[in-house]
Amino acid sequence: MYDDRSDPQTSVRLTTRLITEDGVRFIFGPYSSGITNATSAIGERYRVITIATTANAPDLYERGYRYLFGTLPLATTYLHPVLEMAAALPEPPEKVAIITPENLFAIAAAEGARQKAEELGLKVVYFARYPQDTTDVSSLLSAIRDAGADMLLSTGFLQDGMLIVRQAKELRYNPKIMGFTVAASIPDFRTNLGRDAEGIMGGEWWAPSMAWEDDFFGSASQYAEEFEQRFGYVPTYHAASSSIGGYLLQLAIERAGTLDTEAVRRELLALDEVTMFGPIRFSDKGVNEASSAAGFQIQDGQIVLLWPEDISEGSLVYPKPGW
Amino acid sequence: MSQILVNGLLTGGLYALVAVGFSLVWGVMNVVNIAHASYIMLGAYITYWLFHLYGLDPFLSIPVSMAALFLLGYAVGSLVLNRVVRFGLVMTLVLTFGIDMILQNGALLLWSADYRSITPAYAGQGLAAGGVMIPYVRLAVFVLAVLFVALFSLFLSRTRMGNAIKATALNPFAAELNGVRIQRVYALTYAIGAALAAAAGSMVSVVYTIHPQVGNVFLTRAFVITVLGGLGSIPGALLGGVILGLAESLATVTVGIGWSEAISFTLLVAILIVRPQGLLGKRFFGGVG
Repeated sequence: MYDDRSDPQTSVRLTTRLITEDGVRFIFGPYSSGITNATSAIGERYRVITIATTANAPDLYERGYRYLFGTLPLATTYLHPVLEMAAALPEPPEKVAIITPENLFAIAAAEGARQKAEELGLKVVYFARYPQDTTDVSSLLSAIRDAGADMLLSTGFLQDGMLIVRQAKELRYNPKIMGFTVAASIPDFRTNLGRDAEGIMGGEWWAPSMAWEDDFFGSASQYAEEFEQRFGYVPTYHAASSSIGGYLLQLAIERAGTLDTEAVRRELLALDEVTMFGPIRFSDKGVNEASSAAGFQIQDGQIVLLWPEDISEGSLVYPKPGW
Repeated sequence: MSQILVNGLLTGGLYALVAVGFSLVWGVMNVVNIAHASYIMLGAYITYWLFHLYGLDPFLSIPVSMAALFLLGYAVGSLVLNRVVRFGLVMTLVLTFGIDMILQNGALLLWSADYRSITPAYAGQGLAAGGVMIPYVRLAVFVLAVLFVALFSLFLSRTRMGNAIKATALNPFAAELNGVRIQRVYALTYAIGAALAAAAGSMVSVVYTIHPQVGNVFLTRAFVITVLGGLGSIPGALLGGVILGLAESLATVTVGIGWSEAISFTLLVAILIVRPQGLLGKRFFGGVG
């Protein structure tokens, strides 16, 4: 285990070292699609299996790689539950704005949302990419408001996500729905924004309250409890996905009865499991195609799962309360 | 449209304050102070902790963060920087880069990479004037930024110490012949630069999210503004900040926000071609005023 400091060059160097010097045959990939994009290319060259637990930009899996497996569903589907919920409303929002930072994963999620919105008959009136380290989105939000968007979706990360909420409040821009990807599910988003986070929606790959379970971890909530006892904080999907990555690799190795990468690869492709992370089945491209994101809304400072309807824990507050 | 201009202007005020200390140190000492990013960060954290632990209003903590960073800046300036300043730009660049890395990684160890923010009761409140929203916090940041720049400009032109700084910027050798202790002037200039960075950091903390790398985003802008306004020029920093804020804001609604950084660096290149000394810079090196 090495720390790549989320720096692509460091990550590439360490991956090469893992393979050529430490002689590993299986690698749990780094954080983020951008960096995994680089490291999985090295794994592919040396025929070392990369289990990517936090990288799901579609580009990664469209390169014909044989040794890359991703536990998360594709990033493109991240905001689908929010859009499905919106379209199912008796008076759905009419105009959608989608903004994304310049980032492989975030752009994939935003493009996926744009496509889905159009399929559902919601009109996308504004679509923009902003620099990842932007310090000011007030003019971007002013332009979105002028475009008449009553639904704002953003695929930003924590910092830009919070900036968007704060500046939307400063400008008194009140869309009926405000939806985020990664940002909204991170606890810091809620603790930092307090009441301003109320009513914000999001997509979520995994939450402790989901009803999934397996023989090894038990239920999702049991996993979350044990995790919190050991590490002192409530796990997000990042942790759960990574734990499941380890579990799946172990299953595949046990079933193959050998550490031979070809045999383990065949067993990974043959997996069809239901785990505390949800159902898992890898496509030929290495994508987990059995699972999908759930939709939630922040209510009273908590994440309340609302979509799909069979796991719903409450009812949607719509339109989102004004500032 | 007027909203866009207001947004740009308000952001520009903060940019100006971020840049003014950086520009001063560059202009007077010929030091590209990479550690400026860390001083902004430290200022932001001081304000954060005073708010978080003692409930002190973020604007009232500005004197505290300025004083703390003034002392730190003086120590770094007199004990470290003064020893290498005569070896030229590259040596001091490496040195301040090193200081920056130490401070950022220190912050990472002490306070972790968690994102933090300050939300005083009046956050998000604002003034609506003719369909234009002016958030109180951003307005206050703008006014204070302009005030600091103005006061500092007066300090340079009206006080003995300010004149000594200007004299040293013009010609260190001649200044020394006239009895200016330039080592002391350098330490003091560096300390003032750090204190101004701290003031900017305190204000960054109320409009932005705080983390150990928060200063880096602003450092690139400080660089552009300094070149734009002219090395060491205080009014130049103000003008450059406002121009950059407006340019970013206007880029958002015309060519798209994705181009805003391209626009600021195009400005940088254009000014270097057309007017290499900067908009308000003097033609000789380091004209402070």
